[in-house]
Amino acid sequence: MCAGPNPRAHLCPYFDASTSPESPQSPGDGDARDPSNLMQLLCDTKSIVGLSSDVGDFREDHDSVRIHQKIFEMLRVAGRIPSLSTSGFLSNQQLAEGIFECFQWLLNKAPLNRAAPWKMINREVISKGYAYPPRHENLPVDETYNTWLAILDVLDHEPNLRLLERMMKIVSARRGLENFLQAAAANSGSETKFKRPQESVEYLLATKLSSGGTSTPTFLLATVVWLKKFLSKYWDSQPIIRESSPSFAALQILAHLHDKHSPDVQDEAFKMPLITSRVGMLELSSSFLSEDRGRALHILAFNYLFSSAELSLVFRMVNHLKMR
Amino acid sequence: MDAFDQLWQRRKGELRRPLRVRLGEADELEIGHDLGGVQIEFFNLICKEAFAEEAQMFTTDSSTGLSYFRPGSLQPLHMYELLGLLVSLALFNGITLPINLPWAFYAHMRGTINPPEFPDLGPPAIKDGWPVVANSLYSILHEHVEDLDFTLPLEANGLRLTVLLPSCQSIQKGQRRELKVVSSVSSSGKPIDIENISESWPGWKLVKTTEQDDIMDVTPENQRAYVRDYAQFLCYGSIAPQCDAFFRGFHSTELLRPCDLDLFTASDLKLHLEGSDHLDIHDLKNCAKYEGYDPKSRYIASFWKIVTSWPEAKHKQLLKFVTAAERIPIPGAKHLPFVIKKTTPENGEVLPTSSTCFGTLYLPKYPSPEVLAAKLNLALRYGCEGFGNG
Repeated sequence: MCAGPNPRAHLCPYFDASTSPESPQSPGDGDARDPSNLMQLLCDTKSIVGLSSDVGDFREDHDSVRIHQKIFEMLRVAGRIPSLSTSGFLSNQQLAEGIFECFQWLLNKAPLNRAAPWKMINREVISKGYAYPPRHENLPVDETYNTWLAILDVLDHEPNLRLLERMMKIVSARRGLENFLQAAAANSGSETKFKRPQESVEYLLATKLSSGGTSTPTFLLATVVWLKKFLSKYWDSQPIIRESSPSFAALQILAHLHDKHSPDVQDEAFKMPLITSRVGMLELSSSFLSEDRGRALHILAFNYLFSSAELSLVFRMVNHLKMR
Repeated sequence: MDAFDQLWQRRKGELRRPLRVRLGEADELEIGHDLGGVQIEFFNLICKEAFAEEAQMFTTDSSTGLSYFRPGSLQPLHMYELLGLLVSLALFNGITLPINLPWAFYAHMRGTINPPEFPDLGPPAIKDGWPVVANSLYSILHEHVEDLDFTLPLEANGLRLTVLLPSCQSIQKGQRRELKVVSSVSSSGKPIDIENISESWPGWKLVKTTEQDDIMDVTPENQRAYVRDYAQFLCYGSIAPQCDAFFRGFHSTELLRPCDLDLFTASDLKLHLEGSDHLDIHDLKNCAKYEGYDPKSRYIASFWKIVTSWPEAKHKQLLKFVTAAERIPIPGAKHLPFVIKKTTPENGEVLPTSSTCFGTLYLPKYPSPEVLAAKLNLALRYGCEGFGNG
């Protein structure tokens, strides 16, 4: 049924073989993908094929090369102690601007013309940790109006997620450096030798991100959704988040974005029921009671992720545990 | 007062145990055993007493329905301290209270006991509790108002005072906070010498302003500071001794760590402590349980038909009759026990009764829906207050 002359027609009534992208190569051409495989056929949406077909041209994509080089350079210097000559050192402001440019490049890969598909994906897929929307869609997907599938394809594209991870590592590295210098100055009894910058990289980045959507109102919403997607993939499902982890950086950026109260993004967009489904209320509450965390924060410190009902339940459980 | 006496003697560790309340005298035949309902009833009664106008502890705005500390209250400060302790117990034991307090109260609750800093206070912080003043302050921010200076009005105990913003520095318990009075008249307009009443307001020392007290005019350059000061005066400055006493009692139990309260925003904390005033009767119907009755029986269908035809106020009366709760917790009515249990009394004239400890409505099988409706109405009319058979 799936390997016949028109294998996709039964999957989608709107499929038109004449407008479909080129069929995948047949086996035996050295391609690891088996085009007759059902999962492969289901995954080969137009945008996926589009993303994958760029692999061969990667090295000639100057923008891509430039962004990756920029990230490499920022990652190299972010955690490095500035030398006396301060050459090569990038300030928090410079790092934030560099990461913002990378964010813009990444976000422009996804359709940003309509907010509704982003809201739907955020609500039905990303926040709950699903792969696809649970309910059936009546409208066919396309690249201009009902763009949710194209958005998901871009969000799920591994190279994009890895790039985002490296951007978060830049933020973590700079935070780690500041913590180290502060601790070193305190140990040596000379705190005046190191003055922690008033504005952290994540704060500056959040400020740029929240003002960077003036031309595209969906920009900020897309940023929030992408950061949440990053969290769902890279968070280790532990209630304690170490400051050195990229997840912590993403959470801090989201916290600053939340505090901006931008009209483009409602508070509801930040909620993430995935957290309580992965950790569980009892573990969340019992771990919250423990005070000794060192350089780490409990995920409940980022309370914008939780609904009022969830926080209320956690609060009650924490108090019940104290009664023991 | 019995409750206050008992709580006052407790060690802090004892307060961590689950709260159990016994209502009724020791020599009565039946004392309420607390399995949840009695403590809700207890706190309902406490709040009703404390927030009543007669108690003179809080003032309630008739237009907003919100209550706040009464400026210049003559109630001793230890009453506020005890109330703070009880609110802390209620919060710790997960009990919603039938109170209605503004955002500023919860913002203070999330802060520390030391005088709070209000760097960003302005009209948004007071728009729920003082909407008229907030609108006026908004207009001051956008246009210059002539003949305005940095004095603030205070009406209390039959007097109209014009005062300066008191200092918000922390003071020791037992010390009085200085309130500089520019002018003071009675409600009939007669000037009053405040030296005669200098220390008659608990927590305050009223002093006249001197020539050294510089009273600035409000100008376009400092109008933002004036608006901030006015908001701060309403939220804290005018009721500082009462507010300090309340939160001293609240934090004295050490039941709630600052990080516990930080789970909530001020708005969420209000929602958690006060619950919701809105009861969705269909929500209640869906989560009701039955003993002795079939949920699909005609009798139960008649019961719900009668109940759903009532106004919302009566739905809440029914909820209070069965569970003692006057408010619905954030997760909804499903978190309140609501059981309809069949009873077969010897006398067919008995009214439905309830056990708030178990959230159970004891419902006899009446001969007709009309009789059922009449009996329910009577039961709710006479059985909603206090403990016992109403």
